[in-house]
Amino acid sequence: MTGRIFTAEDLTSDVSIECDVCVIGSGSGGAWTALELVNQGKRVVMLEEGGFHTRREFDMTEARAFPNLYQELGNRTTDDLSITMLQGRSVGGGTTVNWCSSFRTPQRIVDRWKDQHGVDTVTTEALTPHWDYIEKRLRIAE
Amino acid sequence: MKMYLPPPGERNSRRGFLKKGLLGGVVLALGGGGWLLSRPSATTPVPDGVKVLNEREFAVMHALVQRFVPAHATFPTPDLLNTTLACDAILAMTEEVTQTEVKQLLMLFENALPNFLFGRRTKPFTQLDVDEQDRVLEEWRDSTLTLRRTGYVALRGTVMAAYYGNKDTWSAVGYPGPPAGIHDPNAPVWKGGDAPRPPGNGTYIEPEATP
Repeated sequence: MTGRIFTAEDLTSDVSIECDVCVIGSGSGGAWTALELVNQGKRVVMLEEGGFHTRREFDMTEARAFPNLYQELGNRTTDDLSITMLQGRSVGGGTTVNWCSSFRTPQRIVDRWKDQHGVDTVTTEALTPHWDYIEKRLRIAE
Repeated sequence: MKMYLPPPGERNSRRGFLKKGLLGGVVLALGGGGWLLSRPSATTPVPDGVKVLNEREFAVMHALVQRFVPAHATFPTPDLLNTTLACDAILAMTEEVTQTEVKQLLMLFENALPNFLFGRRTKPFTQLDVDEQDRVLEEWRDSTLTLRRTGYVALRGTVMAAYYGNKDTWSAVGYPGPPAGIHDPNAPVWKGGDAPRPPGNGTYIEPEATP
C-alpha cells in the first residue's frame, strides 16, 4: 500500500488528482470504506476536515485537545444543551479520541433509519456479516 | 461594527456555534449594533496580547469571568491567572464567524436597549452590582430565548475552560496533572508513502489482506 497523507503545508499549489472514489471523512466509517475499495483495486482519495495530529501534540491537556481534536471545539451538545457530545475531528476522526469502544448499531437505531428515513435495505441481518468481518480484523471479536 | 443578519430561512450555519433559534439572529445583530450603545461600559485595563476582543468587549468578558468563576479560599483568583486574557486566547483559536458571534453576544449582554426590550434592564451589564449581574446571568441561563441559553452556555464554557485549563488551578481541585508516558514532543510524524513506518510504542502487526 502506498497511501500518503498530505496536509495543508504540503500543498503549495493547486493539485489535480484523478481517482475512482473520493471518501469524505477519515474516521471509522471512511477508513474502512477506503481500505476495502483500495483492496479491490480502486484509486481512492480521502478528504478530512480535521488536522493530522500525532503524539507530538497529545499532551493530554483539555486546552490543546478540545480546540484541535473535537467537533465545534468540544462544544457540541444536544439541542437542549444538556449533554455534551464529544465527537472527534482529526485524521482518524472519532478513533483518534476514543478507545475500547466498538458498538454494533442498536436495533432501535436501525429501526429509526427505516421508520423515519425510509432506509430498509440496511438491516441488522444485512449488517451482521460485516460487523463479524470488521471485529475479526480489529481483533475485538471473541 | 458590521451587522450580521442571516438571510430569511437560512438554517444555523454549520460553522457558527451559537444556536440562534427563530429570533436569535436578529437579536444578536441588535446587540452588536454600535448605534444602540447608549451608555458607556465600565472599563478594565486591557493587557498586552489581546487578539480578538476590543476594550469594551474585554470589559464585559472580564465582568462575566468575575461572576462565573467561583470564589474559593484555596483557589487562585481569575485576576491572578489572567483568565480574561485566556478567554481571548481561546476565541483567537476559533473561526472568524464564531469570533464575530461571541463579540456580538458580549455586546448583547452589555447593551441597554435590547436588554430593556427583553429584560427590563436599562444599565449596561458592567455597571450593575454583582447581585444584579448574577440575576441577569440566571435570566439568560433559564431564558425561553434559545440564543440567550446558548449564549450563556457558550460564554460560561469559555470562561471555565480558560480558568480550569490553567495548571495553577489543578492542585486546588486535586488533579495531579496529565499521565506521563504518552506525550512525546519528538515523536516521528509519519505520512505514509515510501517512508518506512516508524516503530510504535506497542506491537503492530500488519493486518491480513482481504480474501
